[in-house]
Amino acid sequence: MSNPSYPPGDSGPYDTHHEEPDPGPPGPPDLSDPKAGGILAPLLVGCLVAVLLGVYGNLHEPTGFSINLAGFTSGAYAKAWLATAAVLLGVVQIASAWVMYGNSPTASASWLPGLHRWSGRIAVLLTVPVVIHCLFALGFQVDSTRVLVHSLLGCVFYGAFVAKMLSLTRRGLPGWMLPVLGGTLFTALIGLWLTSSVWLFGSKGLHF
Amino acid sequence: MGRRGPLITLLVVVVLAGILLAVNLARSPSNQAGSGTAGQAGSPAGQTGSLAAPPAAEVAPSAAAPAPAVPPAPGSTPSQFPGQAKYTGYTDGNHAAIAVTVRGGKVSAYLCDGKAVEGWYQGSATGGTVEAKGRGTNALSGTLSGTKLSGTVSAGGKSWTYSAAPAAAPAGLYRSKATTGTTGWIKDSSGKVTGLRNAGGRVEPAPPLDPSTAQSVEGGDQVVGQ
Repeated sequence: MSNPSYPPGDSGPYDTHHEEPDPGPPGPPDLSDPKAGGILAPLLVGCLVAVLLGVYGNLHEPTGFSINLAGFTSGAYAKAWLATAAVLLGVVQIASAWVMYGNSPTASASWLPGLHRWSGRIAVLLTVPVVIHCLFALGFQVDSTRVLVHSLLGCVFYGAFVAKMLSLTRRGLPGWMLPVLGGTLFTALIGLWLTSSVWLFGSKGLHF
Repeated sequence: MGRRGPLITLLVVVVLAGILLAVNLARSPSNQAGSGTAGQAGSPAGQTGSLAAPPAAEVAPSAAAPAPAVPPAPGSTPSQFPGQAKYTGYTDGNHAAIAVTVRGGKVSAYLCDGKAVEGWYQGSATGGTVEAKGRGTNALSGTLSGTKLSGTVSAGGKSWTYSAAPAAAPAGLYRSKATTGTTGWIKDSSGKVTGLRNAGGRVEPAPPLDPSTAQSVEGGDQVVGQ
């Protein structure tokens, strides 16, 4: 995190922050600081979402089936390809954020924040049918390390997503917060993808 | 857009998830009879009569008591099969693996202990029960209770009780027919594979399951006799 300040001219999801001065090095949130609520509230809501997803996945009796999408050989392959598309968009997310934060030798283009916003939106929307199938048909499972890790990461992913969306609406957050949440999202997404799509392609073959 | 953009994104995600969940709930087996969206071909026959079937989640606790080959107690409403489903499980005592696939009221099933005993079954699913026959006197019957399928299965003159749970791909039943024999594999929900090859009556160990050549068996596929 060598450059925690926001890039000038960024009109992206970070646009609510430009007038903020460099918030300085990150430290533990000080509860007497009014900004602390801004940090803590989205994180707490995110944690709550993650836990609730896990509890629902655990309590709901898995049905073993769910509605399927046309054009794929099975529900598992529909999910695997949706997740793969989401991962590609996730890479766009990381790349566009990297440029927007001024890490690229070339200047940030005016369309980059829009690209960042819309690639993120589409990526998350693509994951929704996948997670509904996971939760409804399969549930939170602990049968193997792969499945346990996948279940946990799924909860973390949506918790981090909610925390990030809520954080975007607040002013005066420390500069590290969005990159940390975004990084968590991307890391969880890659982990989810490796423990599902890549595993499926590896064990059942790469096809639609 | 401004500050509300992310909240709108959040809202859209929640709404989409809610819609998908509602569609799923409307089409879940126990609600299917009363749902207008269950128009897909392959709804098992006999579903329309039971609007009173309770949601699967409420039935589930009673599913723990297996009642093999015994009709459901008077007064209890049997669960209904969804249009398409597969179940994997084991015979009691873990003697053999079993896979039962249901599609459009038709059943294809396989029993395999991975050593010497195997059998293919074909039949029908009516309401919440399956009846299927195999080679000779081999037979399979089962009753759905909640989401669990349990019943009896026989092969080679012996009979076992079994219970099986809903499974989703890649778990399921696989089959490969070649001049070297017919091979069946059952992949359970934890990924464990049990298989055997039958070469003209001689049973031998199955080669590793190769998903690119093996056929995924769904209910209604021809698996008994040729």
